[in-house]
Amino acid sequence: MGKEKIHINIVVIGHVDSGKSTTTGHLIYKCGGIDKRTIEKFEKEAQEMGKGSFKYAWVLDKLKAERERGITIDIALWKFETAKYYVTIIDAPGHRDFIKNMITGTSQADCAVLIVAAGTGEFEAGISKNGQTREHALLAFTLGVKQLIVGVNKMDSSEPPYSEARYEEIKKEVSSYIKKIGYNPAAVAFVPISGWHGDNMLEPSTNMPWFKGWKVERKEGNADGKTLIDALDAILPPARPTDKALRLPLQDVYKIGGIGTVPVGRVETGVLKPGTVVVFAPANITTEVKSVEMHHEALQEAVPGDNVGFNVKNVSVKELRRGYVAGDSKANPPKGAADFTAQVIVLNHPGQIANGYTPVLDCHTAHIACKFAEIKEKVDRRSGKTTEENPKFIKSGDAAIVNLVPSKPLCVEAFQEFPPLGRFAVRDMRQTVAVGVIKAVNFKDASGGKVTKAAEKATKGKK
Amino acid sequence: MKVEALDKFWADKSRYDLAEKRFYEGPQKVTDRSHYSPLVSEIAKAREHIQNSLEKIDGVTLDDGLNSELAKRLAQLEGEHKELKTQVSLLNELLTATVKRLETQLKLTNGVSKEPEVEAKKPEANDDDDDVDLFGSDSEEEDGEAARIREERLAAYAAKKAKKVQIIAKSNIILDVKPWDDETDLKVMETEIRKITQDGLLWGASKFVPVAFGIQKLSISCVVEDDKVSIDWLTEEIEKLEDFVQSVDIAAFNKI
Repeated sequence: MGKEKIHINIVVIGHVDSGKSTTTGHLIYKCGGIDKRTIEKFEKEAQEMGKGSFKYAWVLDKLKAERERGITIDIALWKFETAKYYVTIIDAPGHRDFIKNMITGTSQADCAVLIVAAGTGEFEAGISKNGQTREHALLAFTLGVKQLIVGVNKMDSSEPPYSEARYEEIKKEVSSYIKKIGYNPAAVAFVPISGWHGDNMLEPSTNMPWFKGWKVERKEGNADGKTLIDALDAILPPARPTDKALRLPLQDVYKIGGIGTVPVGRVETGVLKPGTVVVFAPANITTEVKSVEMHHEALQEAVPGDNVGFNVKNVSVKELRRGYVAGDSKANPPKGAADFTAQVIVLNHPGQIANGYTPVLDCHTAHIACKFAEIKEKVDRRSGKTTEENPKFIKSGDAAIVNLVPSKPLCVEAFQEFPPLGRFAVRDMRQTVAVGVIKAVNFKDASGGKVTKAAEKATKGKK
Repeated sequence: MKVEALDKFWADKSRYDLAEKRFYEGPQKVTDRSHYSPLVSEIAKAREHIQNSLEKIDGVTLDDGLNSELAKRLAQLEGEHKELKTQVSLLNELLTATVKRLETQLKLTNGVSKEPEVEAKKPEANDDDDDVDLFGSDSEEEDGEAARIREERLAAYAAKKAKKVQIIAKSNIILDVKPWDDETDLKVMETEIRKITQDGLLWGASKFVPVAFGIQKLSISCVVEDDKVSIDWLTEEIEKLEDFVQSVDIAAFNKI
């Protein structure tokens, strides 16, 4: 694996019976992740059992069985390579708690892959109104996953097999479906595939001579190709936000003998270097970073995606906590929010939400109760147009612009500026009842707070 | 180290094979009414009990005004649906009868013609329109014919699916458990975590991963049945071990 390839994350969504795990498995098996010895072992077993002709199925089954036992925690199981990218693939589970993870979790997807099954009735069941697929697709779009690929799977089991008519029918239906969510179908690659047999996965299939390839039109440049892997290669690479201001939400804070206080977190935007004078919002504590480490190795520079620990002087472990955000004191430093305005989509609340509702919000690593101070307007999710001013209440399926007030000091940002700090899950009764993206933040005045001697010295030294 | 070895090389494969064999033999032996049965019946009882109490809980949550009204409406709709279905099948019968009659009559009068068939199909589609509304389809642009085809396919699919064994949806999760400092004994922490048990939860492999400045975290994988185990519950349970655990983060969350 050379170092020149860019890393991207994709999330695979679709009905449980869409064959998305088979498709995911196919990609990982053929292009990645699983070490050669494991595959060779399973392939040999298949031969010995006289299942040579079903070698592929056998290996996939074995890998699944291995996952079910949880006997490996190798994250490589979910990685593969294309010509251009290293890909980490998330096979979206149906588990209800997955939604929260989609929002606060470690990897924001750069592209979503929607898998639908071409089999009679299977497609229709898969994209039914109440399906989880719709919810996942809607969430992906809301959370800023603007690229989409559609795999029309199980083409081998359409009637008749590899039917062009069926493919066109599904393509039309899915186009209107994703358009309702907000995607532009012209910018979406549609590929007829069989994850099981491998048609149009890595190589163009001879079973579908009618398929002339997929095409996408987008302002960053058009693309075309024939296979699913081509479509993955045509994903626009994410702009890694190193040129933005530093934002590092704290996960943990350690006190280490002989070293001192060590906050740990992931750099979301910007860079962190030894010597940076950082401020921790919302507590507004300023100090100097002595050194930065990742996996026990000293770093001269931590970039977005790096999970790092850094050593700060004159700050006690009690002054910092999970949910605080570190930023550069001299370049657009983070501040506490007095209140903020967000677009909230109610997913699955049993009753009605009115002004005064105070659930817990999970935003980056923070976990703080916030009050729905004012539900300003109900809006059309797609266009953002107001459909009702000052609604008395909102319920499942509604989108609304809401003013929220945190019950304790909290640091958040507008989604436009700092996406990972600008999206949140609304938790109530151990469920994700709503999700939101922050439109604007009314920051508190950053007066008061503590400036350590180390910070003073570092600042003076530079003058 | 041990774990890494497991990753690459399956030394105790025979043990797993044996375990797998036992697992698959298990249910069959039970049907033989062997010595397993008291335990099995005990489990069955417990399951029933859980099922009952769950149903009761459902009942309770359904009790607030809005939902019971919904339930009523649902029941009503279901009734109507049944009624309409019978009516539709009646109409179908009538229709085929008429078509036959028409055909024979037409044959008698002026040979074979396809027109009556076309005419006959139209009313059928209209009949089914009522059915569509019942399914709560609110997309106005959809014409009756398309909806009918969709419903037919769904029905065929449902029938096909009913025959298939339902697969239990599971997820594979990797949790990062972080200690307080470099002095926390991760081994004891792990032992304590593995003591957390729950129906549908299976602990998997684990390893210690360096974080920074001599601190290590525990990465532990588990497999959960989606309907049985809440990940919030699980992280809360782990965070209750507050002598050891500072925080829990989800490193990976995938469908199996």
